[in-house]
Amino acid sequence: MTATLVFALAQPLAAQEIADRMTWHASLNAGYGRSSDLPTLGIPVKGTTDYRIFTLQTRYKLTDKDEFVGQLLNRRFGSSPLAGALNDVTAQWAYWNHKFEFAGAKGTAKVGRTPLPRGLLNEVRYIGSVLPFFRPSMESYSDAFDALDGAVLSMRKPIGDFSLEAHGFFGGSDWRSVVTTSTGQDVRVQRMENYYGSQLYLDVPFANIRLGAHAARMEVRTPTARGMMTNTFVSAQSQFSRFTLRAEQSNLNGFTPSRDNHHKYFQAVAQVNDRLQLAGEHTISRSRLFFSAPALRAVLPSVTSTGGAAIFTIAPGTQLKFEHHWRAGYVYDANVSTIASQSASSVVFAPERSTRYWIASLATSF
Amino acid sequence: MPRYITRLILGLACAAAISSVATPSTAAAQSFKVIVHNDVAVAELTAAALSNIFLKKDSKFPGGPEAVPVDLPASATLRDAFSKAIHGRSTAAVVTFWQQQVFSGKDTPPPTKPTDEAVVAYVKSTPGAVGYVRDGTATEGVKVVKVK
Repeated sequence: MTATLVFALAQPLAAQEIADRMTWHASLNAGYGRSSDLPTLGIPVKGTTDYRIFTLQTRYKLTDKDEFVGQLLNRRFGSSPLAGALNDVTAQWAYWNHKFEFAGAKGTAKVGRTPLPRGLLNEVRYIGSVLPFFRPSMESYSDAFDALDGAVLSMRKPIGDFSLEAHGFFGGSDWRSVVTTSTGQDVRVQRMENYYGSQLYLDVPFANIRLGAHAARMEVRTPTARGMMTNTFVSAQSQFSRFTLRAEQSNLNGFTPSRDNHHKYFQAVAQVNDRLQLAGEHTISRSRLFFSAPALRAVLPSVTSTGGAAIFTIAPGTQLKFEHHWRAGYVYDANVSTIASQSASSVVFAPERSTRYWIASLATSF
Repeated sequence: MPRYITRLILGLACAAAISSVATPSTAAAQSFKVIVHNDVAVAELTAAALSNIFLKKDSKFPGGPEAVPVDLPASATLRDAFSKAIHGRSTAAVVTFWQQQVFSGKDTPPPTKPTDEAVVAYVKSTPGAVGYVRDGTATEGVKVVKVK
């Protein structure tokens, strides 16, 4: 009897304690997209509403220094060939987070499936309410490395008025891509293992400048090939007065096959008033192609993308965006043509194509 | 000039005009006072120090104990006044900062209390707590600190 009473009294307390230890966050980035001439980034000519990213995050605080963090991801990618490679719901994050202090620096250790510090926007790439466009530059960030299965060690230390943030990581990650071949388009999901590297950020006490440098090595293993790749990012961002300026350059190279990639983008956001921001972005992507004959090394004509957006803040954390992009080059959801072919002594490129696309989207998070 | 570019420019101009008409001019006139738990041996704080505590860039009061900030909801007009005066940016910009922290797995925002009275009660009962309330709010049992 007494035991039953104690148990009954303990139940509400336990439930309250669990509620106090748990926090919930969610974000939605949902849009309607339409393209003019060619389908691209999952946006067909006839338009699609199947364009959405939803995340649900929960944190369970074990102690003042330890917590479990999980984040579910639901991503719909319109008519993109990549849509078939995405689960309807997936565990984007599932990690244990431990906070510590060492030599005057604040640090965290994350173990499990963790966010991967890579450039300025990788960790928030799905959170529309903190981005000026529906997504970060697809060329720079690609559909890859959005989480790391492994461990991330992070430290942050003030140095005078400056602040240095350093991350080191080891683990594995996925790279999803669409490859145009002579017979059509192939979706490839490659697993990168032995993925290690670091990301440094320096915050400068002038114009809110943040500088970043990222370098990572990873091993590609497929049934037919195996090799090492290197990914680097150099980043700069400044927020002053009503403006945010952002620029990044990334390189992805190595591995046995046939190309390496260099991408850069410039982005500017102007706060017109409390409700309206205007944004512009220009991306240039350049690839080198390697053929079996060493003399046949070719630089593919650049792929470019230029975009503009009007962003209305409906309420803090909720935005309505209208964006328009011009895109020229070779990367489309439709198999337009084989990009490059090798003749006896030269390389022939297919003619460049272009399209425009629009996205109207709602982004909110709490 | 291609027709779609003309349309885009016209659209953006209309958006700017509409949003400038729709922009509310609420917050800034409100004034607030900063309160701390009685055990916090701090008489005054700079706006920069207070901003760093509320953005969790600093976890302690200058030369003092752990700081436990408590905020008002994002919809509170007083929060907008506090954000502009202390952080030098709007509540929407501060909310965006916290969304970046939350969804990059770095940190979570301070807890929020729905009313000034609830903020006072929280600060009174929580060692190291720091909050802000409307100027006329009764603040028995907590300490008011000066902001430089």
